[in-house]
Amino acid sequence: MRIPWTTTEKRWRDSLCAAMIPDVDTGHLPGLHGVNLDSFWQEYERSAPGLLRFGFRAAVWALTFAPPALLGTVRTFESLNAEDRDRLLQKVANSRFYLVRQLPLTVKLTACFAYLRDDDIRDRLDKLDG
Amino acid sequence: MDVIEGNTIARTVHKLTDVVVVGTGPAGAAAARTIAKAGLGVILVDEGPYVEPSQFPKDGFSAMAQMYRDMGASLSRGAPMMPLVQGRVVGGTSVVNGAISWRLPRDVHDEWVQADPALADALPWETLDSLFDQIETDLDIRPTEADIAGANNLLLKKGADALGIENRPISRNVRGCRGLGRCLQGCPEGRKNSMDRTYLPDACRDGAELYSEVRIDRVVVENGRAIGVCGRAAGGGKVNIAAGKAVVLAASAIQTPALLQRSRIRGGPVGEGFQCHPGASVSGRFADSVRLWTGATQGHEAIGLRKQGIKFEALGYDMSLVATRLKSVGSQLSRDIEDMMHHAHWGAAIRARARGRVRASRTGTSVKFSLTPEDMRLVRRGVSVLGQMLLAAGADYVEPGVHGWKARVTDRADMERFDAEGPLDPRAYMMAVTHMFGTCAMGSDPAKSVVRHDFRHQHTRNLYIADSSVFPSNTGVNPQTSIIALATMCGQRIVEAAMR
Repeated sequence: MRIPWTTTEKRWRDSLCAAMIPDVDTGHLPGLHGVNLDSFWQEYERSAPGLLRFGFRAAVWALTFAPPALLGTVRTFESLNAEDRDRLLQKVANSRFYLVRQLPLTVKLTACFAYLRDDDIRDRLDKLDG
Repeated sequence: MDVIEGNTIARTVHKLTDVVVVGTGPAGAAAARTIAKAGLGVILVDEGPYVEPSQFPKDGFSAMAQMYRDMGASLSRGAPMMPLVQGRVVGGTSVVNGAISWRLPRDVHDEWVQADPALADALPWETLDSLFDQIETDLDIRPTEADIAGANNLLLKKGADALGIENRPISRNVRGCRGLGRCLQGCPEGRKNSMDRTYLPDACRDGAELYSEVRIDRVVVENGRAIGVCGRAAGGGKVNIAAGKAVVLAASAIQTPALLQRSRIRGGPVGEGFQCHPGASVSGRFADSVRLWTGATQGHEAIGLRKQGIKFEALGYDMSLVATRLKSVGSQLSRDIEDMMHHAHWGAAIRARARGRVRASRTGTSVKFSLTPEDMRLVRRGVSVLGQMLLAAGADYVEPGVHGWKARVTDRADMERFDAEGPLDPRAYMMAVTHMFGTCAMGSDPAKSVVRHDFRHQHTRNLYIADSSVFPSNTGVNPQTSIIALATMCGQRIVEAAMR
């Protein structure tokens, strides 16, 4: 059974993915928010197995409402500034709890697949001389 | 090669043949080729699509979505949870693997014979050895050439040499490889001698018919004799195939026992004894560019610790997969992605002693598997040696990727220390499972095995199993060549039985 994402959920999802690969000062590559992901999300919904889709959605919900517990601020992830988003992701990724560590991992997996499916990003990355 | 695509089958299809083979990976292809060559009618069926090399996707996500079972994201249950990586495409995992070809090691064969002396006659070493010779000729198996290896592989050689660990270029089933680094997405130039390019066309030339995108749900058994299979095509039509001589299951060590269970074919430890090769990987950052998405995907291996149960391989990936394996998140991940052309990535495959089990579940299959403490000591040693090799090869730092240990290590002594002091909690590691075995093991005792020494099911006439389910144990090395050899023998046994 496939339950479509609501507009709000999509906003949460997009803010999390964008925070996973944000713009950085080096300026060689844009962050994920600069990439058109429409076709990626279509293929993801069509192809990803149910368990993966469920895990990703659960991670989006859990991380969206994680700031009160982890940063002590009554806000959603989406409403955090870039610095706090980064701080929260670091914290969760280094949690001593195995299942908690899997949350950002699930988002990272999806974000990386989405980001590096884009031909322009791939070409630019391949041409970087480091 | 003519393929009848299941998405074009909207109505019920009834077919009659001598032998139906479920699965078109190395096992199914080798068995079918042998049987078709002997003049018997063969129908092959695969759940996955047939994809022409020119249509293989460039990026990791699209390849996994199109050609991997559950997008490579089905997880084993246990400690740790690990993705089970299997192809789901005509040609099976041979289409999307690193083309690594190993003969079954003699010491592993000896172990099998020691555990079940009757295997000395059922799987004689001399016969296997001559089959390996033939397979190596058929599939152009030869060591990776240095000029297409790429930096990731050459650095592994340097690191292993520095530590005095025996190493060598990986022998692969490729012809004219140009080092595009796309083995895991399928070679777009068709230079990998995977089953869709070799044994399946051979079988079809000898009259075999091949159906893609047809999922077999059940083996039909009547009066203790397998008489065919029933399934459903992607186009919605039912597919019923009656087989007069044999039904051959070659759907992998996960799907084959699950199909037996769904068909309510009991007898013996079906689905028990699951073994595999869990792998952990470590990356290292080098001053020079590595670009591990170019060169031979897996072109060099360090084999000095194989008999301890650890084998090291260079791991080339599409850049999307490289990024998923970086240890950072957020802004650091963005920086690391920009820097990832400097990363080398190597893996340690473990010959785990643990045994798990496979069950057919409502949603597909469920694999329960947890590593033993002894296995974890091997994993830890593997990570330790990988880190030491990377630093010995000149890495600025390595990222062991182990929770509770330094994120970046620059000192070889730290990686040496890891062998004794690194965590043994499986959940501290990121691992993946490839190569699965043993869920319908071959043996003499019907209570302890699922198939007889002639690959026939212990209790069901005309039902044969050709894939790595029948292996008595894991092999510690990449099993494709061994699977082909045993499946060829299975095909020979079926031909002999049919001619009687």
